[in-house]
Formats: sequence, structure tokens, C-alpha cells
Amino acid sequence: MSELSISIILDILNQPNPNNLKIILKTFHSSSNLLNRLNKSELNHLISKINQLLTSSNEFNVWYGLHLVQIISFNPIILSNSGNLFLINTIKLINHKSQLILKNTCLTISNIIQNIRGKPSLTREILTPNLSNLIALLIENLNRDIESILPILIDLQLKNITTFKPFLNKLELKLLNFLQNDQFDEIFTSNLQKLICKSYAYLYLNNTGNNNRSTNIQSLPDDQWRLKIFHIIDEIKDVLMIYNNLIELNQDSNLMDQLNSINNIVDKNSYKKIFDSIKIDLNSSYLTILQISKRLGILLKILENFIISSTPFALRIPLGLIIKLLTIIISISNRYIPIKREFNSNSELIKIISIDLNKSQIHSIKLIKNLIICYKFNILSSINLIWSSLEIFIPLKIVKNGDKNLFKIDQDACLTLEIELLTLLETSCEMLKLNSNLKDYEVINKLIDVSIILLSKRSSLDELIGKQQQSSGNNKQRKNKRKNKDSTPLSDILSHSELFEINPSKRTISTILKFFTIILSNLNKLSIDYRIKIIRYIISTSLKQYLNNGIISSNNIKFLENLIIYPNDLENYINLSIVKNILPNNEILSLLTNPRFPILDIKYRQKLNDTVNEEEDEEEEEKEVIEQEDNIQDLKPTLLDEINKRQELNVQESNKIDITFKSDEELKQINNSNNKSNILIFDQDKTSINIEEDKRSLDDEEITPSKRLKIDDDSNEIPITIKSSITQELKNNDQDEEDGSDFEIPDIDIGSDDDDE
Amino acid sequence: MEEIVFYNGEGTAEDKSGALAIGYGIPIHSQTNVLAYRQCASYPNGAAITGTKPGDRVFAAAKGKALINVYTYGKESPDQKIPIPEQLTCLTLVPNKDENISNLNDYDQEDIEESNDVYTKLPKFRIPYLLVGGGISGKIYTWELASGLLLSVKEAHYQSLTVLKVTSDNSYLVSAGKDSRVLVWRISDLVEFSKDEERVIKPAHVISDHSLEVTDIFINNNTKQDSKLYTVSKDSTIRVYSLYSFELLSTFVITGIIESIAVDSADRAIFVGLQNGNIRQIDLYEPNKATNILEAKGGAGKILTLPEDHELKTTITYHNPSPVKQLALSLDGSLLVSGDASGKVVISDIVSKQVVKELKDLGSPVANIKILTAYQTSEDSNIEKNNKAIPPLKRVITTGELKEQEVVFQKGFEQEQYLFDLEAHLNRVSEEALYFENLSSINSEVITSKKTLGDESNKVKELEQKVAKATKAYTDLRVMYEDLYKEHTELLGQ
Repeated sequence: MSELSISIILDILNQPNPNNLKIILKTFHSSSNLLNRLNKSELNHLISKINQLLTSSNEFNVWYGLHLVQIISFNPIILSNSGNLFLINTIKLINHKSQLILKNTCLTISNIIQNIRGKPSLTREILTPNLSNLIALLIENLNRDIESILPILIDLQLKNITTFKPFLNKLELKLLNFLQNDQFDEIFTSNLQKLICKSYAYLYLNNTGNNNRSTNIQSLPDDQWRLKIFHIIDEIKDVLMIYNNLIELNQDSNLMDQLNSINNIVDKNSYKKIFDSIKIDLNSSYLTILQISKRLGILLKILENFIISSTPFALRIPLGLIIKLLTIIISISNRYIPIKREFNSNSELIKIISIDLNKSQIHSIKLIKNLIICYKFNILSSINLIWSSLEIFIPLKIVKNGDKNLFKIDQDACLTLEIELLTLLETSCEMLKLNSNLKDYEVINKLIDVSIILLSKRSSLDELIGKQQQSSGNNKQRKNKRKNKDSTPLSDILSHSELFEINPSKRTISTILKFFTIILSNLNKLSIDYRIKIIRYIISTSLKQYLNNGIISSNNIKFLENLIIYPNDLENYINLSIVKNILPNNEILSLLTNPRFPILDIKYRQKLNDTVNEEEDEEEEEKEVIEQEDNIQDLKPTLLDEINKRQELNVQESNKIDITFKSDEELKQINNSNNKSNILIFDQDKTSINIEEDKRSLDDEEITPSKRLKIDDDSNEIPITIKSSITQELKNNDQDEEDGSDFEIPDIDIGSDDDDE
Repeated sequence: MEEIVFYNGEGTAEDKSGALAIGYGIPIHSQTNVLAYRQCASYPNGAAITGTKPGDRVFAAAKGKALINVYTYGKESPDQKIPIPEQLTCLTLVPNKDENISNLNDYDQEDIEESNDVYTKLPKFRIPYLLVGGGISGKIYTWELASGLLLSVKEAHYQSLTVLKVTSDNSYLVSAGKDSRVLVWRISDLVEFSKDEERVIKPAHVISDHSLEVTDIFINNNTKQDSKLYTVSKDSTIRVYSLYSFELLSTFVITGIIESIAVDSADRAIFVGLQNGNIRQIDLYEPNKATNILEAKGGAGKILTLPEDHELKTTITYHNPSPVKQLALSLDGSLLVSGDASGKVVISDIVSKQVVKELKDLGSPVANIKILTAYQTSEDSNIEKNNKAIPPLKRVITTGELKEQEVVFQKGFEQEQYLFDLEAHLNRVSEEALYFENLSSINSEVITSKKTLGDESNKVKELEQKVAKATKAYTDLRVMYEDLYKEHTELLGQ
């Protein structure tokens, strides 16, 4: 055993050293026996040593101790003996000046809490008495390391609602401080943002707020929570109304009606908003407009955490209202609603407004995606509404074709909005998973077009090259005269522009492939044009991968499989051979091209065997021999050598050549005892076992296993003499044909050969 | 692991209060924990159960009353009695799960982190997506359980419905009625919010091949394109349809009136319960007598007339003569649970056709049998009695205004960590140990004031020693000089 003895460990702990920390941790973690076997004094010794480290003034010692506690607290004996002591000492360390110690302290505390949770008396004795002290310290130090501290606080918020109650105001102040920071988006990582919003939402888990006035109605645990959702929705609506100053929302009376109808439940003055009003000053900078989408983004993030967080009780969620709000946000687009007339001449401003609108839309689309993942089929009722609003986001441009105005996908805009469009595709995937009975395929067709654009190679040079060629055309004469030095750095661009083309990012490809796969498997009514567009892309990329890299990525494989499994009604099986060629050895395709029936009940199978024997017995004796001949003809010399060797081996083993027909099990045993050369026999055995399922046609190769089966059963009944005669015949054949020609079905040959020894 | 048979009866006419009509949840393989549900009388196919864990529910359409009784796990009497517009003759639940959808998350690592694929435990409060009921008048009612909204009422059949079933991907609802018709509905049509009052919900397909009452239907759990619908009717036929193309694949004609059907989960055999009390097994693959090759039966619109099974090779006769009302198959497809009109419920072994176990007698015709798999964990033992009630089902159709949809919802806690990842932890240890380590050749930390002091004291000692040495040498010399001088003066004196 690779475990240290306790005396060595105690020795090491006297003089902690980074060298031996890992091995101690490993010992504590994996050999729980060691800790369980300790006697009282050793245990006390160990615990006091670790405590000494925790309380030491040396930073290294403290760090060392914290790691020990993190691991050792997994042991139930240690935990119940000294959990309290450890917890108290660790809590004291929250105030430690070192950042590293703070981080480890948090991890240690969360480990201890996790180990204590759910155990009734440990929680009562250890956790509860320390909880308020812990919470106070954590909140105090929250600013120092949000990422480590906040998860613990969130856990406590969720599971110790009443203990947390006195600290809610304090925490709210801190969180609001973060949320109201102008740079919330910039300074916090997305994970931190999530944590902050989640913690903010959990502030409202506690229901004993100030609205206990209506004592007649029994208060529900989620009253506060629900009210806050309406407040946030109201705040979002207020932010949306700012757009009314930039674009002509009033022109779309329907949209305006919907927007106005959203929230008449909440009294504006009854609550305090999370945020102050936004200051937009077009005179100072147009960029201030971007604050709108930023604010909307934070509000939607907070809202998201109010509706898709785990809670200890069931919530009432105004789902329909939220979906309505989100679709309205997507509908506010300058593509369909004109920008205010006074800004019309200002192209810079128009651009910024449209950027801001796009940002708001995508915030909303993201939330829709998460809603679908969480609420699944509850979204189904409004799915058509969502589809039609998602369609608004796809960038289009008007192309004049004669008198008609045609809408085409705006390629440039697609590339600029790549990340946003990917989110749109992801959302569409989730929606398709819910329901594939689409009424209108127009959106899907557009999305496929967008995907194809996103999948194409990127080159930012197209325009540049065009320009260069123009100018070079003009200056041709001059250029001939003297070499233009300035063009040297551009020469690569001109001559090898393909080298500057870049493939789309991995994320783009994988998202789009996912989208394609879902389309392919769920939408059987997709028009054949679009289907072919997709298929062409996948087959060409798969072939490219296959030929250039020798391997096909798993997403492509998945797609190709789906391509075959879910054929379109209008499609012939043209793809099968292509895919089968690209994917040799594929289980799914193999099953598809060699269909077999499911295995039946065991008793039933025996019955089948009997009938087979009765009927086929005698007639086929001869056939067999002939077949054996056929097979043996095909043997390769090398293989025959192997077989001969094996025969020798078998002879040695059994001493009797006449034993001939072996049961499957015997054969297997021999196979196992012999070496590599016999693996092939094993295969043959398998086919013979599965014969009942395997039978599907009267092809020649099919008969071979059926004959094999019969032979096995015969071994009990038919006198040996007959069989040995067969064997001899076979053997003769064996030798006669030894210098045989090409070889095609090796495993069958060997197997049958082996049977007949 | 355990399998639990849930079954209830139709109740008897004398027992008006339903005191004797008990629904049972009985484990097949052990003797533990029999669940019971009082006043649980319903029409055939009129009750549904979501599972056998805390938080699961039983919905039963009360027979003779316009009520749905809702039972929560761990309680014997109905938790809620929800009034509805009319008596329901059958009901079914549409689950709110996407387990049947292929999980495409095995792409990039980065992708997995991004997706919200953290496994969450089942929340305490969980309800299926829809409750669909078939009224005695032939109407189909669709309620969203989380909001209680009545999403649609559809006049579907000319007589009362007999059974409702949902495909495994939640895309179609199939209804069958005494009017001998079978209708296939798109669920998305039934639930869509629409303010358009003109909108007519049409079935995706109408099957009117049967000539008498359709008694039972079965939908297998294949993918969309292989999904099959089995319908049985009192006209002695079993019809198999593709739910993808809606083609009639095969028709089996049998002697006797068919009351119920169960199909092997891998489509290997059909079991039909007959009015004469026999259960007939129809294998869907059989060896061809001439070639001994396993062949599929039916398909391509074939009509197969099954010969009478005089040798009783494929018949279970236990229930004879009372009609076999309900059938269900166990997880491994080797046990068949059947219930008859007299209230007897038995489990029989399919291969040997022998009865293995007799379950509690209901005393009234068996209305529903369902086999559930259960996996008991330690957490399941704490049954919460105060489970939140489901929102009352509305009796008026929704106006189609999105605002109305207020769902009651709970998301489960995230799955706690499995086992501590020591490897990762040890890596972190090394990472952090670096903080205490000085890897550069320049020793920027070592020179402390204490150490310089030590050096100096050494020097002092050294110097002191030197001084001492020098002094000693000097005194020695001095002594020697004194001696010599003494000698010198003495010599001079002489």
C-alpha cells in the first residue's frame, strides 16, 4: 500500500514543506482506512497539528493547513471530531490579508459546508452556530474576491433562508454597487455577472417583506419574488420607451399597443428601481446611446435569474408576459421601423442606433433560448410568435430585379453579426427540438442561407483586391517603367489572395453543424433545394477532411449518419453509397445495410433450432462438403500455414483428431487457450450463435452458418463415423487446395475448418 | 430498481361514494410498500400516473362526475378535486421532457461548458406539460397543467372517446372513440395561442378503417419516422399504421372481439386481450416454414387472418370468461400484466404462458394498468406532505392573450458534486505552491535584516578572536621581552 504511516505524517506536519504536501493530501484522500484506524491520541495529535498550522502567523503554514483541511474534512470521523474547530479557525482566516489565503479559505469553507449538509446533527452542532458570523465576514470581504465568496453566499442564501435574513440589506447594497457600476459588462466576466445576478435574485427568496398588509390573503412563499419580476419587467419596459425618442415606434401602432399593455399591474411609485435613469446626451457623444442596450442587457440578465434559478419552492412565473416582452424587444428594429426624421441625415447616428438595437435584440434572443431550455414545452403555445420575431433579426437587403424588389440575405451584415447570428441559430435549434411541425419553412430557409454564408471562407480582401486591380489598370504604363516599391508588402495579397482566406471559427462550424443535424433529422418537409445545399456542404467538407486529415470530425460523422437515417420523402438513396464510402466500419450504417430482426425470447429460439435440424439434416450434408471445398479454395497460403499450426496445437492438446465436432463452448475454450491465430474462429462462433437473427436471405454465404448450427446439434445424435468421414474429406480438400488462389472470406473458412477437425 | 404496477378499476354501481374503488401501486418483484389511492374509479384509460417518487401524481377522471382527482405521492385520498366542464371518459398526460431528443452535446469541450447542461435534480414540484381529456360528448380538452389554462376544446368524435395516447416525441396526440374513428392531432396545433376566432383546428389525419368501436390503441416508442400506431377494435381487427406517412401497414384479423392491446417495446410481438377472456400473442417475426428464415409479418398493407389457436400455444386463458380489459408489459418484456372485467389482475410469464402472481382484486372492471420503473434513493424517503397544489384547471378556453399564461414552475437544485477530483486539486496545489517558491536565480527575498546581523556578529566574533589572538601573542612577546630584558640587565650588572 502506498500510504504513509501516521507517525511520518505527524513528523512532516511539524515542518511543513511544499515537497510533501501532495503526498499527504493523496494519503488523506484515498486511504480513508488510515484515518479511520487512528486511536484517540493520534487523532487528537493530528487535529491539533493541523490547527496549529491554521492559526500560525506564517502565510505558508496557513496555506498548508487549509489544503489539509480541505481534503481531510471529507473523512466522516475527522469531520465529526473536529469539524467545528476547523470551521471556526477557517472562518477567522477570511480576514487574512493574503488573497491566496482568502481564496483557499473560501474553498475550504465550502468543502466543509458541503460535507456537513444534509446530516442533521452535524448541521445543528457545527454549521448553524457559526453561520451568522460566517455570513457577516463573507459579505464584509465580498469585494476582495467575488468569484470565491459569492458562490458560498449564494449557497447559503438558497439553503439557509432564515439565517440569512438579517444580512439581506447589507448584501443587497454590495450587489447593487456592482450592478450599478457603469462598467458592469466590462469588468466582470460572464460567470461573475451570472453569480451577481443570481445572488441578487436570491435576495427575494425571503418572503417576510413589507407587504404583509393584506393579512386576509394567505401569503405565498414566492410573493416577493413574483412582485420583483413585475418590477423588473416594468423597468425593462421603461428602458424600451427610450427608443421611442430615436425611432418612430408610434408608427407601428400594434407594437405600441402591445408594449403599453405589458404592465399595468404594477404601481410605478410603489417600488424602487434598481437603476437610475440613463443619461443620453447626443450633443456630447452618440455613443451614449449604447447605454440603452447595456442597461437592457443587465436587466434581462437579472430577469433571467429570477425565472430560471433553482429555488426551494415552486414559483409563479408570468411566462406569457415575459415571452411577449422579449418578442417585442426583438421587433424593435430599424429595419421595419423608421428612424426619427430629425436624425435621418445623420448617418453616424443611424449606425449607432442600429448597433444598439441589434445588441438589445440579441440579449432578448439569448434569454429566449434559455427559457426554452428551462421551460421546454410550456413555450410551445407561443412558438409561432417566437419564430416570426426571430425572422426579424435575419439581416436582409433589397435587391432590385426589374420592377420587383427582392429580399436577399445581406452577406456583409451576416458576417458582421456572426456571433449574434450563431445565438439565433442556437435558439432555433432549441425550438426545433420542441416542435418540428413548422407551418412556415421560410425562416428555416433563410437561416440555412445565413449558415452557408457563415461557413464560407472569409477574406477581407475582396474589396481591396478589386480596388487594387482597378488602380493597377490605370497605372499600367507607369508600373511597367519602374518597380513600385510601395506595392511590395501588398504583393502577397495580389498574387496569393487565397492565402489570406480564413476558415470560420470552430464555434461557428460546430453550431451550424448542430443546426443542420437537427434540421435534417426533424424537418422531413424541408424543400429539396435547401436540403441539397446542406448535404453538399457536409459531404464536401467530410471528403476534404477524409482526404487531407485522414479523419472525419465527430460532428460530421453524426451528420452523415443522420443523413442516411432520415431520408427526405423526395430523395433517392443516392447518399448511401457516398456516406458508406466515407465512413467505413460505421455501426449505424452497417446495421442499416444489413438489417436484422430483434432477438426473440430464449425458449422460442430453441424451438427454432429443433425445426431447423429436423428438416435440413440430411439433405444438406452434401451441400456442406461442397461449400467447404469452395471456401477452402479461397484460402491464402499464409492463412493456411496458420491453420496448420493451429491444427498441430489442437492435436497436441487433445491427442485425438477424431473428436471432431465440438460444442461452441468447447471451441471458445480452445480459442481462449490458443493464441492470436484463433481469434478468427471466435468470430465464426458468434455468427453461428446468432444464426436465427442473422438469417435474412438465401444467399450462399448465409447457408454456411446455418449448416454450422446443424453440425453442432448433431454432435449429440449422429454417429461419429459419418462425421469423421466428412472430416477426412475435408482434410483431403484442405491439402489438395492448399496452393489455392485469392482469398476472400477468411474467417468463415477457418471456423468451419476448425469444426471439422 | 423495482417495477410497480399501477392499476385501478371502474368502480361498481352500488358504491356511489367510491369508498371501495381503490387504485393500487404494487411492486412486481418485492413485497414492499403497496401504494393505494382511494376513490380512484375511472373509465377505462381514464387515469394516468407520472411516477412513484415524492412529487409524482396520479390523475384520475372520476367516473360519473365532472371531476379530476389528483393524488400526490404518499397520500391515499385525493389531494385535489378539480371540477371540469364535463365528465371525462379518458385522459392522458403529455410530459414536459426532452429525453427523447437526441443529445447533440458531444461537440467541443468549450461547447459543453457553455450549454446549460448541468444536471439538475428533479424539483419537488413537477408536473407534466399537458393534461388532455376526452369528454363523454366526444370533445377533446387540452389543459396546460402549469398554468391551468384550457388551451383548446375540440369537438372531435361523434361519440365518447375511448382512449388518448401521445407519441414519444410529444408531436402527435392520437384519439380513438366509440364512433370507430381514430384521429391524429398535432399537439402544436392544439396548444397554440391564437386570437383568431375563426381558426379551426383540424386533425393531421383521420383513420376510419374500423367498422366498430375502437377499444384501445398503442403507440410504440420509435423515432418519428418509424413510429407506429396500433389500433384494435371490436370488429376483431388489429391495424398497424405508420405515424410518419399515415399509411396502413398491416391488418391482423382475429376471431373474437378485441378489448385491449400491448406491444413489445421492440415491436416483436403484439398481445391482445379478447372479450372471451383469452390473451392472444401475435409474433411479428416468425420463421418461414419452408425456408426456416425469420420473416416479418405484415407490412405493405397486407391483411393477415390469424388461425384459431386450438393448441393454445400463443394464448393465455387465465381470465376466461371475463373480458380482458387492460394489458401492460414489464421493462424486460417478459412479464405481461393483465386485468379483466371481474377485477382480477395477474402477472404472467410470456414465454411459458403461466401466471406468476396474482395481484389484489379490484372487484370491479379494471380500467387502467400501467407499469412504472422505480429507482428508490435515500432522499425519496422524506415525503413532503405539503406539496404545492397544481393550479386549478380553467373551465373557459383561453383568450389567446399571452399575458394569461402564468406558470407554476420549480427548477431543481443542481446535482451536487460526485466525488472530489483530487487530481485537479493537486494541480491547484502545485499552482499555488509556486507562489511561495522562488524560481529565478536571483534571490530577491532571502536577504533579511536578521541574516545580516548574524553575519556581523560572526565577524565580530572573528575579530574578537583575532584581537584575543593578537593580544595573547603580544602578551607572550611582552613576557618574553620582559624576561630577555631582565636577563640583559642582569648580564649588564655582571
